[in-house]
Amino acid sequence: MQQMTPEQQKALQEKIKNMSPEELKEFQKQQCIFCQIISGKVPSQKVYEDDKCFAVLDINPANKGHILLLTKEHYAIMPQVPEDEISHLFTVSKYLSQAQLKAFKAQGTTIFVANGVAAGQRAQHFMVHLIPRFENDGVKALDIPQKEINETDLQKLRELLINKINQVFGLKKETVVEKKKPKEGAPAEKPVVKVEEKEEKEPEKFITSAKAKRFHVESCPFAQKIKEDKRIYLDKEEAEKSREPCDCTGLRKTKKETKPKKKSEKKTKETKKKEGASLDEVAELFK
Amino acid sequence: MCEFCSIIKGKEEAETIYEDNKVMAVLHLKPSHPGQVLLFTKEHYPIFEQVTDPLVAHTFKIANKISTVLFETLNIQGTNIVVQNGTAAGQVIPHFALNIIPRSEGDGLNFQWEPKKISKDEMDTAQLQLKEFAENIHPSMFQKETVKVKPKTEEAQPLKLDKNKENYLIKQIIRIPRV
Repeated sequence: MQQMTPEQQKALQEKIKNMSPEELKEFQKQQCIFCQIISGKVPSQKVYEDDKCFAVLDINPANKGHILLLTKEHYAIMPQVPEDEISHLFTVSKYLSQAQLKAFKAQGTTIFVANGVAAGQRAQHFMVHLIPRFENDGVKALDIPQKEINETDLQKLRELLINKINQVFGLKKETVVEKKKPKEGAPAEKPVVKVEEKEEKEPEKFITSAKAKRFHVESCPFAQKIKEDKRIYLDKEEAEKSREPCDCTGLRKTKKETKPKKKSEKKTKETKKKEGASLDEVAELFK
Repeated sequence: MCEFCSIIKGKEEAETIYEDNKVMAVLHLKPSHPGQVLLFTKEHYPIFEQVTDPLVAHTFKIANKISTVLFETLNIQGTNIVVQNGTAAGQVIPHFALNIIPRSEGDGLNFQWEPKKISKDEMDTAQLQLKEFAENIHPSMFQKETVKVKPKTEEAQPLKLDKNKENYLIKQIIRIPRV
């Protein structure tokens, strides 16, 4: 950019302050060197182009064949880029990375994105760096250092992130399962981010009608037979006082049920025993 | 079995922060910056080029969301997304993964490479070579996510089901003659 006198700078800053967001975006576009490259106002070494993205050789490459993959639309950082463009851009980057492997017989590629000045982003235009890599190519800057972190900090971070992630992804409340340290040699228990759906459910409502002897859950086919204007909605307590539960409710524990229940217990015991057997052995039993 | 596959199968401990039927995200145990996330596909693909198009799309969409989450929860001013693709690029575990690294002012990290001096001629040949291969890239050929209905069956397949499936089958066999 040309050098400006302090007065000019001041005037420019003033001008920027008074701009609407749209004007500001337009202004950024005009100032953006990459937007000028895409429009052809500034010469570049293009290697690929389609309707959404544009790929050129980096003039300050980490290695020969270093590609900058740009969105044609001006976005300052990745979070501003719509999802379909992200999908497209990174699918293209996969194929460009493949092209680098083939073209230069590279032994690998680094795919690098910087969001924000603190992350090393220099231009106000979102881009993906694709860098062909070779053994001992001396590009040490792209190594990711490893540092120690203590367990408590890690757990705190995890909790913070999980809560936000569930919010952003629209997941339901979760419980962070306490993890047991795996015994040596024994397989570790899987730490699971359990999504508890039950907690979020509204208190259960059961459906019945004035004449009916049983009550049902809403999804029960019997409940759906009851016409809408004849439906009576009860909570669990009320329903249990006046009527018998239908099988659908999972609340049937009446006297009649006790006997078959024992049977089923036996059954499960038997099946449990047999679970250890192979399918073939189980099949033998029927001969 | 590779380290990420053991994590996916639950055989190795990890600080999981996100999981769906296609990808999993865990906190790096030796992060370059606290909050560094490793995002990997559940299917085992050693390198980027092997990952299917729809899965690439999905993985990076999730990466973007996680990057946004890092912005919003940690007091940071930036993020880096880095894929080390191949041992020459520093890949250690042969399973495609993304590093999402939170960045703050003065965090002591610097991924800024020293620009290499490459002659005009070499740049021109590099451009030609790349163009030759890039010509074969046609967005219309990208594999799209097959019909929306399909993922439901896909959802059912991973990990947990394997064990139960067999038991379930056995139970079925046992039940049939008794009914």
